[in-house]
Amino acid sequence: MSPEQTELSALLERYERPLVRYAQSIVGDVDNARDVVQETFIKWIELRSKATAQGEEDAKKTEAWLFTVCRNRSIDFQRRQSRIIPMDPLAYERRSEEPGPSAVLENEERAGAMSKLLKGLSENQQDVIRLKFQNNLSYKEIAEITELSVTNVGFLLHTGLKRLRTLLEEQPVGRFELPLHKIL
Amino acid sequence: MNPDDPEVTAYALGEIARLEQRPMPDTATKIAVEQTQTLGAWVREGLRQEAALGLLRSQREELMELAARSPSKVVSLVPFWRQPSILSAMAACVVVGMGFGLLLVPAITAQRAAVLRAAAAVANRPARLTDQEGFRIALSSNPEPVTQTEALYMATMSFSAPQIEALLKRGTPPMAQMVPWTPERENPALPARPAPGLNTSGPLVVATSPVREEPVAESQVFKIKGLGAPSATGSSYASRSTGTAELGGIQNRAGTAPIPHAKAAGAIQVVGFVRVSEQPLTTLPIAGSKRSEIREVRSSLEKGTLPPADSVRVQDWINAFAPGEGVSGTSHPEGATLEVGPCPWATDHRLVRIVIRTKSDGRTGISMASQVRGRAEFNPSQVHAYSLVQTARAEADADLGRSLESSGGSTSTILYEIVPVSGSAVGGELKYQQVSSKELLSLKLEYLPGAKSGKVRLVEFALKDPGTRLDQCSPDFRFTAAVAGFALNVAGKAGAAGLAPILQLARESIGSNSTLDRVQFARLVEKASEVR
Repeated sequence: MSPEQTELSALLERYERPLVRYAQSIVGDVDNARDVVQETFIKWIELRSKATAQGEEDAKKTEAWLFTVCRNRSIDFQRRQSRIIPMDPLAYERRSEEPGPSAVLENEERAGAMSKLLKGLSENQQDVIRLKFQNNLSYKEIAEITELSVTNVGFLLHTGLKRLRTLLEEQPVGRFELPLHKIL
Repeated sequence: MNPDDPEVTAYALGEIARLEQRPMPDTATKIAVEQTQTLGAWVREGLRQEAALGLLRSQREELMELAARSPSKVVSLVPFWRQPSILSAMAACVVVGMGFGLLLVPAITAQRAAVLRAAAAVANRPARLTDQEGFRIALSSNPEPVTQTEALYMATMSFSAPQIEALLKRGTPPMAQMVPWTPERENPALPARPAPGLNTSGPLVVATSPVREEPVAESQVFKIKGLGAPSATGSSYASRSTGTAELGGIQNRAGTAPIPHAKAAGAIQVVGFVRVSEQPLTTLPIAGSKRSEIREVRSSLEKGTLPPADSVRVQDWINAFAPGEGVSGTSHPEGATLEVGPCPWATDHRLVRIVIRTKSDGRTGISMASQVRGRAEFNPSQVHAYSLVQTARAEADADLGRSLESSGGSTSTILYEIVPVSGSAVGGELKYQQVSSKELLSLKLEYLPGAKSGKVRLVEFALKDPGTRLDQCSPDFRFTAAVAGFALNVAGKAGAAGLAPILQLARESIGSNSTLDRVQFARLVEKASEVR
């Protein structure tokens, strides 16, 4: 393997899945999310081929960079999608009926409920919550990725969690295994 | 004290070490912190269980192949306009107030569009341009070949002083026409007169000006466009002229043999052809890129089968693999690239490739699809008949519905197979050649520049056929021809080229431009050959 390949494969190992999952939270469909992530890595390859190793790049910096590109590509993709006039209106319905891999679905009940709950938040709130809790990024990194100010990120996380709590209160009892008394 | 404070949340999440306002948190704050931490842990756990699917194996392999093809290069990270020689050249130009030559070197990179880098070109500064002169580009060969297979040529662009002024003021980058370099033409003369409508004191739009008046007697229209965003201070012209250019015919790639032509199957091929004498005008089926097409072919081949012949839509395949504007997703000026070359599957025919670029506001503004409509008018004295490269009549008809609304920031590639009048297949109409224009066709594009401007703009392009051989065509042309050839082959179209020459053509077009599309495509053709 060439040095570029070694480096790429380490990055893929570490970020491929988190990025696909993140892209999917924006574009919805896993196939499109994969395309977005592949494009993200292509961008990385292109950049890597131009700006060569000038000392090892800070891993954290690369991480934020990957998420930033992935996010921008996802948003671009989403915008383009919304403009496409479907040739066959049924095509969209068919897509949504497509079952995902069943093994995934079984393990996903709780996660599914969580995703649904998150849908009740604004897009910005969902975005920062995913970046914070799913990808363990700091306020500063999230601010870089989303092009918001750190204060703004803090505010969105605060209001997002608050909203989440309200939504939880509205859930039927027993839906979530959660020590509700502790957070409500 | 109110515990409902973003600062408390930040503290609870470990983002800040202590609360500035509350060195001694009260009970309410302590409870809020604990609640937030519990909720946070719960959200974290819930999100952790969300399925995290990775890329497909083929996608990963494609990336690894790309990485292997893109070795890191040591390059100067100083933008060229900050390089001392350029700075001094620019300063001299501005002070003296004369047109200056900017030597643009298309650096061969793995990018879809090559990056133009300027080298010190002061010595080559061309003669002063008059204010009336639109612009001038000269191409000359570079004595140093970059690689063994590629010679590099330089483009010198000249602008007059008022144009430099205008460039400083305007927001959009300049566009320019370039003609391919040929040994006979060391310094090709471009339209010496300003193209009609060109206002040298106002916005400079060169390539979008009609070329009818004095058409570039070549097969390709190139585009140079700026990349850098205009700065508020308008620091320099050069910072805006950094750009990308379609390299097409500038590259003279050695060692690329034309693929063997499939025998033309005249009678069958002509089905679907339209006689120019009967219908010279045609609407271009402009469509955006369709990634789903690639996916279907790929998943089909991974299962070891070819996609069903009747499912193949050639124009969609072409667009699925067509070169875009790079992965950055923004493209600035509208425009078209036209090119003509041999038709790999029909010796007597020629292939016309038209690439339409649509504008996107990118991610800063409101994304607005630029509405584009294109019409081609074929010249009966040059073209006997034309046909959209397709597998079924219905393909084009369905596409027409999308003509007006093409997806933003994308390119649309359209291929026409034409029967030249001089071709042996037709003959008998040579008399027109002497009296009329030599243009094959002219292309009219109508578009809405943006949401705010209600004015429809019209640009026109003309295309001539200098008889370019396949090895003289741009890599993009050859790649698109390979995709079309592959689609026709899979669709089982009579007279289609075999997979081996298609694979060869595809592999050749990877060389200098190893984008994902090309790697992906070559792999698909390989797999298809195995399946066969």
